[in-house]
Amino acid sequence: MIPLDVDGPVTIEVFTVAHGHEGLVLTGPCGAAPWLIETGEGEHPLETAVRIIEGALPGSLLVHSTSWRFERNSVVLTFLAVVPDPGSMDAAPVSRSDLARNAEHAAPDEISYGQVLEHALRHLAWLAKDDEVVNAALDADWLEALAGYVPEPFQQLS
Amino acid sequence: MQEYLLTCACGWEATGSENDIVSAAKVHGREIHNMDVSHEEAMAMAAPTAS
Repeated sequence: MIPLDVDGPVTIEVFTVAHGHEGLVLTGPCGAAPWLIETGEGEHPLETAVRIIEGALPGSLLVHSTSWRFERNSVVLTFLAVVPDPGSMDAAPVSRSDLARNAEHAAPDEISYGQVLEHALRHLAWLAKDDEVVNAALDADWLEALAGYVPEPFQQLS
Repeated sequence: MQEYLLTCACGWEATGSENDIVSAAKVHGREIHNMDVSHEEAMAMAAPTAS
């Protein structure tokens, strides 16, 4: 199988998350995995992300950028999309990860998608406290789940 | 008629004739990945199924 190469100067990566009966789950149109979206020449990454996400997930509650990193010769801009439930999409529980931390003048050598998702949820915890719009979009179950995450700002991860 | 199984790197699959899977791949590419998928690219992701 030859993979579909997502090219372009900016690759959009979306983690779609819902609050299930037993906690947070990773889901999305590509299953329980990062969802990659290409940006075309001249396309604004945020506008592209919102357009594609809202088209594929019309009931999404929230879409927010959380981090960026340089990978596969491209800037990867990560977004978190919060949906009410997975619906018919495959889903898997979100597990906790330690974050990959920078050295004083260098990014981490390697970063896994679990670490990117961990940071994304820590950033959502930050936004839930700092941004009235985000706080209002999340219900009590979500706010309780985020209370276990140390709030983190938007970051470069690698 | 030969049937094919097409698998996207994201895990999405389509089965059917060549025309069916190419059409489905173009829609999937555009709506989910914001990509224009050519006929050749779609067939490169496909394998014939046992008839």
